[in-house]
Amino acid sequence: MKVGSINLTHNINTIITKWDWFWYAPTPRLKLHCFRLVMGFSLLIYMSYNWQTSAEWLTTQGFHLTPELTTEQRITLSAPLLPEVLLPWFGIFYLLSTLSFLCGKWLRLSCPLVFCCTTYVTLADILNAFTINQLLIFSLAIVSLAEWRPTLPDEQRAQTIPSWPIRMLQIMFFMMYFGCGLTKVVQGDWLHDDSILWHAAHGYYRNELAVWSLNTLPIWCWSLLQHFALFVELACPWFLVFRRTRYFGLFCFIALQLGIALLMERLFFFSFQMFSLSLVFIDDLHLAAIQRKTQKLVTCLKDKKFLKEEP
Amino acid sequence: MEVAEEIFIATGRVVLAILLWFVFSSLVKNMHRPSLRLFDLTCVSLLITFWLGPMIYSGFAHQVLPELKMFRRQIFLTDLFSYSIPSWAAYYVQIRRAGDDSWVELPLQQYFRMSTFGKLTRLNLYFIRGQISEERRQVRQHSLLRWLIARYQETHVGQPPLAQIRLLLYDEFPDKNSPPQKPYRTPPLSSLPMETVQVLLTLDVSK
Repeated sequence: MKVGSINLTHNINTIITKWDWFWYAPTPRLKLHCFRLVMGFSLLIYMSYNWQTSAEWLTTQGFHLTPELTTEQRITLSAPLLPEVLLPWFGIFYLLSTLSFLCGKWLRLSCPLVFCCTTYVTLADILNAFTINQLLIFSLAIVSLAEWRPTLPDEQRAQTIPSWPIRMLQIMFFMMYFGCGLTKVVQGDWLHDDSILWHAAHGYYRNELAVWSLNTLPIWCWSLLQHFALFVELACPWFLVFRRTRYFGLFCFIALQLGIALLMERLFFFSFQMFSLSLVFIDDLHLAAIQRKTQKLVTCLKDKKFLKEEP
Repeated sequence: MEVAEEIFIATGRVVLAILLWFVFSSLVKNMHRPSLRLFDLTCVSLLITFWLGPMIYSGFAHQVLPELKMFRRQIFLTDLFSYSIPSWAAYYVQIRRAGDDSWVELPLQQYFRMSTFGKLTRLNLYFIRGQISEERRQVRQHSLLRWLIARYQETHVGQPPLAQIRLLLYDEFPDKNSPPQKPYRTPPLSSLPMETVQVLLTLDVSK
């Protein structure tokens, strides 16, 4: 079918074929494996750290939104709190599921369990449910679906999966940065106020390094850092879509997250989470090379240990 | 009922997305395409319908699709530090016991021990979260103080009963001429001139 000089059928064919290749092209399983490993580790330390105060956010010992206030915030999904007797049991269950998820054991069972536990704590403690929980829930949903997917024999041999889990994670990373940058410019004050970062550095997250920086760096340096952060977020499409700029972009994102982790107390958890997401942009060949080198290093260390023990 | 309706409409979208793909897919001929399975197709349709599409929509339009309000918190993009924060709020609670005229500070650290990031407690989040009217803010303050009264009475059995309780706020403004010398911590109430501290709400416990 032709409309003017445009071959409509051919164009539709091309679009659908590209769409299919984008979502379903076979891709090495290694990328998802690396992501699961780093994300699982970040979840483990985040939850272990916060478990010290679990009675406050998971049981009636702590302050929670009343049903009236929940309605006011237009929250339709929430979960009941845990009875205090069940708290240690839930903790053990969550920890074991996370460890199994991290070690890659019984993944078909552990992935949905970790997903359910994380969703439960997010819905139970609505006051405290942060961006990090949203990232974790979505990542865990993706990994669970990918693990539950029936594998074909040729996929088993080639160790591949369709690319949709990786694509979804890539889009999430993209939206986290670009969406954030867009909100800052369109809704927020970042174009009207040069001292947002300087003000933010004074607040609840202020650590020793932030104190030193506030005493050492002039205000224009903070403005410069603020504009660098905004540039990195808004340049996300340019950085990530093109293969040539991708590694430079990843370097900028990691530098940004490193800055956040160093200057803001305990935001390290968020930076770690974002770092795990950035792994899905690393080229398959490079990831395989890193894996080979790591394995080589581990073998080398094992051999040395063996040699030491032999005499 | 509302939740069931939301799930029904959203599931309808998934089915529609799969059907649309089949319609368009049947048009494609003589092209090299990856092998497809219904499981993958359903997963992609599910994720696009429930999460990706609404998230992109909410990112640009800054509102949630009416059918997916249930997932409001999951699909709204983060707006970390989007707005200028001129001051940092510190909250305090003071109590007055029966037969005693003096106000005594209630150590809030006992009730709000968790600080996930920095020194941001769940109490801070309680007041930060949601842009609400002054009237609703008072309802929140009331709800918090009522909870604190109940907790206090549970843990201080045998002590003189509470007569009054009040919520105080101190706003700390960064000063360009005197940068901070220490990491953040809630300024001790005793170190603050009382004229800089705002009394948000006072409750008579007996009422």
